[in-house]
Parts: sequence; structure tokens; C-alpha cells
Amino acid sequence: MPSLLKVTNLCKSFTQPSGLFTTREKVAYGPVSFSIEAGQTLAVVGESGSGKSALVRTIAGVLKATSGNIFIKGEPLESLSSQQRCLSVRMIFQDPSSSLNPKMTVGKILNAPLELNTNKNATERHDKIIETLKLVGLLPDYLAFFPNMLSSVQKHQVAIARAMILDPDIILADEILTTLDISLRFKIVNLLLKIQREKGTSYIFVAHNMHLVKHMSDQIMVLHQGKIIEKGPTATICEHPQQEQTKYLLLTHQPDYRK
Amino acid sequence: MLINNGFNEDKIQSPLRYIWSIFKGKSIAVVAMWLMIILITTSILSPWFMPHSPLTQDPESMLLPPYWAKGGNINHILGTDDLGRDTLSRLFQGLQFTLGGALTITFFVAFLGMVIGAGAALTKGVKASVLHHLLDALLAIPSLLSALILITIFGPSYTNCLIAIGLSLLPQFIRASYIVIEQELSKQYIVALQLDGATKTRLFRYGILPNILEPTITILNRLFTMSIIEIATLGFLGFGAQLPQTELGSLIANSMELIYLSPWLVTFPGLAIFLVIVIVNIFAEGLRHAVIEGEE
Amino acid sequence: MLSFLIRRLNLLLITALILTIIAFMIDRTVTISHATTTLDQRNYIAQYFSYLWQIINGNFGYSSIDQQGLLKRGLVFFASTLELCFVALLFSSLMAIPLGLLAGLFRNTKLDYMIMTIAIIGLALPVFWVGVMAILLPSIGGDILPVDGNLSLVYDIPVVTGFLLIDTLLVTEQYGFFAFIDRVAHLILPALVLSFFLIAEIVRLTRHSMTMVMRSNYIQTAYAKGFSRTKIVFTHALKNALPPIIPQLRLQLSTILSFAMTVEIVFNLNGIGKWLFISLKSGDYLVLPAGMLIITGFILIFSIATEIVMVLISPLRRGSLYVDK
Repeated sequence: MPSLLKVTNLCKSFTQPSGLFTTREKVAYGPVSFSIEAGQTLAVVGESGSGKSALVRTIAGVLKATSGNIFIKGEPLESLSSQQRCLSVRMIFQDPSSSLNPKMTVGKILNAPLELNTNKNATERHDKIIETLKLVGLLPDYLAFFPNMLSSVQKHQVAIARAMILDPDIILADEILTTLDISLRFKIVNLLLKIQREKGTSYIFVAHNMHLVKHMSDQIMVLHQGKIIEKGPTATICEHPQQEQTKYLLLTHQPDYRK
Repeated sequence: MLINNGFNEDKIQSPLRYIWSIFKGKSIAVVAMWLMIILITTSILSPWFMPHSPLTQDPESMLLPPYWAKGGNINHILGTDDLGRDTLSRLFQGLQFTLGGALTITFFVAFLGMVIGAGAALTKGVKASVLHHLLDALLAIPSLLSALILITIFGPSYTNCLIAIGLSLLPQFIRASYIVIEQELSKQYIVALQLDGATKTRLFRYGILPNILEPTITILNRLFTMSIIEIATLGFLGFGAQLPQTELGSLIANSMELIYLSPWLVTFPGLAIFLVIVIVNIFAEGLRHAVIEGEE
Repeated sequence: MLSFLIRRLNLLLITALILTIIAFMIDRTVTISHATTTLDQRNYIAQYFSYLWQIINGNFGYSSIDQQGLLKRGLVFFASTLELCFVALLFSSLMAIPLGLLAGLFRNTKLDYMIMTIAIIGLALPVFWVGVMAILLPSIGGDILPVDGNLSLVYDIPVVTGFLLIDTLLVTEQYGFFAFIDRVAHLILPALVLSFFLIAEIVRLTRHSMTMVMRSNYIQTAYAKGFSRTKIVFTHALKNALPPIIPQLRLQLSTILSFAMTVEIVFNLNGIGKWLFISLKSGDYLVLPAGMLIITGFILIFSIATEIVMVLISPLRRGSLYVDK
């Protein structure tokens, strides 16, 4: 049985004009290789500018990889249609106040992916939307609301609902927790963990807070200047970090360091 | 009825309705809107209720001043011209040509410009880059000059003048709508919609169009103002409406020899153009402010 | 810096090339439809390259009326147009920038509404009509300002630079300063009429720019530091509010030239607008491509020049020296 998501030698670089006709390649990350199994959580950590966001965005399909391959259940990603891709990989964006269309009701926002990617009819779609809202802990009332009427944590719930509505295998989350304050952050964390228990979804998430990473993830991948410098089970990495960079990252969240 | 009624409203207003309710509170803008509606309907319906036809000549009353001036006649409220034609009737006919022409141009140019601008923003690569260089070149030609060039090629007439002005304003509008749409495309909700596999039409209809109301109003307002001024200018220079069509600009040009005899004939058409533009501008500004307040 | 310059010039060349193609197309359409010269039988590409070669050599064709070279005449006329625009720009900047700054500083007060009303009126007045009314005005108030042509006919000024304001100063031995004063008097009314539109435009741009600056965090910081309002406005706000107006105004350049051409026709000034108008009325259609190339050529060079100046004076834009966008 092939693993759920397998990434081999993935590489992304941007070109910038440097001279008159010459261009310069700026490597965002890579080559990186890793894989993830169903129901697992992979945390991608690293300092800013280490290419974690670009990596996540490439897997989601926002960016195009320069070289390398992504396999989902053994199938290369290029061979999948955009519908199949949406049904297996979904992304939650960093800031829900900018990723929800301000002129659409919550109902319409949730309806769009269903309408575009499934063959359900209107009543089936409505039922699915209600069910997903219940999953993320929102009342059906919110269907008629516009995003600017929601609180920030409710926006997060809607964003998660939009990702979950197609029952994907993998959810990508790009630093979604940084904009929330600490008590609301745990509400969302618990929600994500509950969804994982119920649906068996895999998460790949980018985070800064090492406590959260310890709490949520099964695997940790440390990126530094676009390269994977360390990868392994969470417990091993947190207890016995091998690399300098990993140690620094862990150190920033030690209680005595903060004083 | 909602279970959780945090907003104390029975029904949730859509953004457009909300903007409309704000707009209704701006009395000057509402007055401008009604004036605009009245202007358009009266200029369309004027042949039916005006007491004088704009073409009837009356040798009995020539070059009459407006009725409030010395020697004026209440039959011709704004006076008559050198052939005894009623100025007010001629003004309404001119308004019909100028205003109607400007509205037509605005409509077509807005449609074409939006389509091409959106196409350029949504495609990348050679096609877009060719379009950009072409636009750069076309934008360097002053619109009056390009209108003159096109009219020379088509031959002067009212319809050709409208086509020429439309084409000469098109590059500006394409560039403006391109910039607006390009800015919108970088928003995250558009990226999210793209990831859902939305087609370009759907992306444009649901993602982009509802969110670019405010800049669109500004652009449309400018387009309308420019087209009125250009129609009148070309008419004034004799490249627009040909006799016996009376367009506001050509009305001024025809009365130029009489400027010292009866300055009214030159004053009124100019004032009419001025008033139309001011009314439309106030209406558009009010609408724009309502949109801004509604989005906050 | 050098590579930035070369890249800009590259873009300029491409745009210029497209413009010559457009000019060529106009030239062919006009000559075919009006058949003023014998038709060339070669294919269009060969014709275009010979046309381009002529343009590069400065041969813009000859007037079908008096067989004069179009480039030289067009440039002389265009210089007079530029003079008009320059005087109008100077005048309207002097008027509009303080007004716009005031409106931006006292946003949403009575003063702001008054200034913005003036701006809307300025935008809404059709420029040719204001011209006509301005011609009417001196006849009522007595002949103070002349409204006919560039210069009184008594002066015979040799064309040196084409800019009459300079040329009249060069002949002071012959006429004293009278020719210069006469030229200035001829320019005042047209420039005033042209500034109606310009003032409206500059007031709006300045107001917007000033509002944006006054909202920004560094102005808030300056307030927090305890600076007085006057000091903040003069040392921090002005420096940041004024430069962004220049590129905005540059975008309006072709509109300004459009209006200047109309004003010339109304006031009978010998500028490029009048020249094109008269020639078209008398059937000399070849002036169109020539006039277009002169005007667009100026606009292109001027835009590149403003861009370079902007890069030199504004640190924010200096980034574009190193990377594109």
C-alpha cells in the first residue's frame, strides 16, 4: 500500500532579473523528500524565510514546483484532475478575514467547492453544508451571514469548514493559529484534533509555537534555508535535537529563556 | 426566525441593499440621482411635450433673448436663434444627442474594456505582454488626437464620431480596469476560489466583480465625463454631428458668429454640458462614498 | 543604474516601434482613401521598412499644400503648445497645491467641501466653452488682453528655439522687452483657461496624497513625540505627500495635451492643435501621422525622464533600480 502523500525531490525556485538580459535563480526550497500516512500530523517548522510556506503552497497547488514529484496514494499529482486534487488535498489559508470573500454569505462560500467538485444536487449540498457546520461547531443560522459579521474565531471555523466540506484526506494549514489569541487558539486546536479523531484526516501544518507542535504533531520536519535538516517523530526531535537550528527553535519556547 | 439573533434583525441585508440604504441617507446625492433621471427622461420625451419643434423657423421672432431679459418673450423661455428657432427645444435635442451618445459610449466601452482588461489580467504570457506594449503605445496618443485620426479615416458624422471617441477612450479604460482586477487577483479569497477549480467566468462573476464596485464607479464616472466633453469638443470643431443634427458642441460652434449679438446662444449649451457633468459627478461621488462606508 | 536605464530604453524602443507601425498604418489608409500620391506597389512590409527609414532620417513627409517638411514645422508648432502647457502647469500648481494640501489637512470640514466643489466645477467645465466665454469677457471689460494668435503681427521674430518666450528675449536689441511682454499677454488667457482643468486635477491628487500621508503611522509617531502640527506638516508630511503627485500627473499628460490643442483652436494660437485642425480642414491628411509621432515621441521621452527623476529623488522608488517590480 503506497503512502498517502509522498514527495520526492521537490524543488521550487523563482527567477529574478538581475542584469540586462540575465536572470538569477532564487531557490525557495528543495530538494525535499518526505511522506505522510493517513491520520498522521506533520509539523513543518523553521525560521522565517526557510521556505515552509512555499512548500505548503506548492502541495496545495497555488505554486507550481520547478522540479520533483508529488504522489497522492501512489498517483502522481499531475495526472489527477483538479476535482480529484481538491477531493484529496485542501488548504486552510493563513488569515481567514482575507480568505473569505466579503461579498458572499457563509452558505455560498461553502457551496462553491461542493458545486464545482461534486455531482451532488442542491438539497444534498445543503445537507452536507449543515453537517459540516455542525462538525466545526457552528449553528445553521450562520449560513445567511456575511464574513464581516463573524468574530475572528468564527471565521476560522468557517475556513476549516470550507476545507472539510469535501472530506479530503489531507489538510494543509499555513500558520493559521498565529492571528488568534491564546484561549481561542486552543479552541481551534481542539477542534482540529476532534476532526482528526472523527474523520481520520492527515494534517500538514506550519507553525512557530513549539508547544503547539509538540501537542499536535506526530512527525516534525525542520527546514533551514530550503533544506530539510532534521526529520523524525515528535518525541525524538523534541528530546534529542541533533542540529543547532532545531535546538534554537526549541529553546525559544523554554520557560527560563523567556524571562 | 434566527435562533441566535445577535444583530437584532429579522433578515440579513445583502451588501448591495446595505449600500443602497446608506446612499438613501445622502440627500445631495439622491437629489442628483433624481435630477439625472429627470434629465434623461425629459431629453428623450422632449419632442412630445415641447411647444416648439427644434427645427421650425420663425421670421417673426429672431434672436430673442431669454424671457427675463429686456425684450424677451414668454413663448420662448430661453429665447431664439438667428433663424427664430426655439433655444430650449434645440437644447433638449442637443442634450439628446450628447447625453445619449455619452451613455452609449460609456456602456459599450465599459463592457469591452472590462472583458479585455479581465482577459489580460487572467492570462499570462505572450498574449498579455503584447497587449501591454500595444496599450503603452496607444495610451501615449492624446484621446482627442486619436479621435481626430479615426474620424479622418471614417469621415465626419455623428455615428462615426461616437465610434471614434469610444475607440480612443478604450485603451484608458482597459488599462484602468486591468489594474483594478490585477490588484483583486492577489487577494486570498480569489486564490481559494481558484484552488476550488472555479472557471474564469465564475471567478470573475462571484470573486472579482462584487469586490471592485468602488474603483469601477470612479472609472465609469471618469469615462462618462470624458466622453461628454469629447463629443462636445468634436461637435464644436465640426467633426461630430452634421447639420441639421444639433449636438450641444455644434450648437455652440454654430452660434459663434453671433457671440457679440446674442451671447445667450453660446452660454446656454455650455451651461447645459456643465450641469450634466456636475450632476453625474455628484451622483457618482455619493454612490462611491456609500460603497466605501458599506464596506467598512 | 546603467542596466535600469538600458531596460527602460528598451521598453521605450518597443513602444516607439509600435507607434511607428500605427503611424504607418494611418499614413497608408489616408493616402489610399484620399489618393494624394501615386500608390506604392511593393508589399506592406517593405513599404513599412522604407517608411521607418525615412522617419529615422527625420523625413516625416511633406505638406501637400506648401511642400514644407512636416517635421520641422510640426516641431515649431509643438514648441508653442508646450509653452502654453508649461505656463498653465506653473500657474495651476501655484494655485492648486496649497489648496489641495489644505483640503487634505482639514478633511471633511467646510473648507474641504468648498475646495472640492471648486475642483468638481473645474473638471466639469468644457474647456472650449470656457475659452469661448473668455474671449467674450475682454469685449465686455475692454481690450486688456489680446485673444488673437501667438504674437502681435508687428513683431518679426526669427525662429531660434521655437519657444517664443525665449525667442522674444533674444531680440531685445530690436524691440526691447515689448515683444516678450506681448507674448506673455497673449499667453495669459489661454493658460488661465487650460488651468481650470489642471487645477481641479492637481487639487484632487494633492488632497488624496496628503490624506494618505496624514493617516500613516509615522505622522502619528511624530504627534506622539510632541511635535507641533505645523512642524509635522512642514518637515514630515510635505516631503512625503508631494512626490507621488508627479507620476500621477504624468499619466494625465496626454489629456492635458488634448485640452491644450482645443484651447489653441479656440484662441487661434499657432500650436500643434491648430496646425492639425487647419491642415485637416484643407485636406492635408499627411500631418496626422507626423503630428502623432511628434506628440507621442514627446510623451514617451517625458515619461522616461520623470521616471528617472522620481528614482533619483524618492528613496521608495530607488528599489526599482535593482529589481523589476
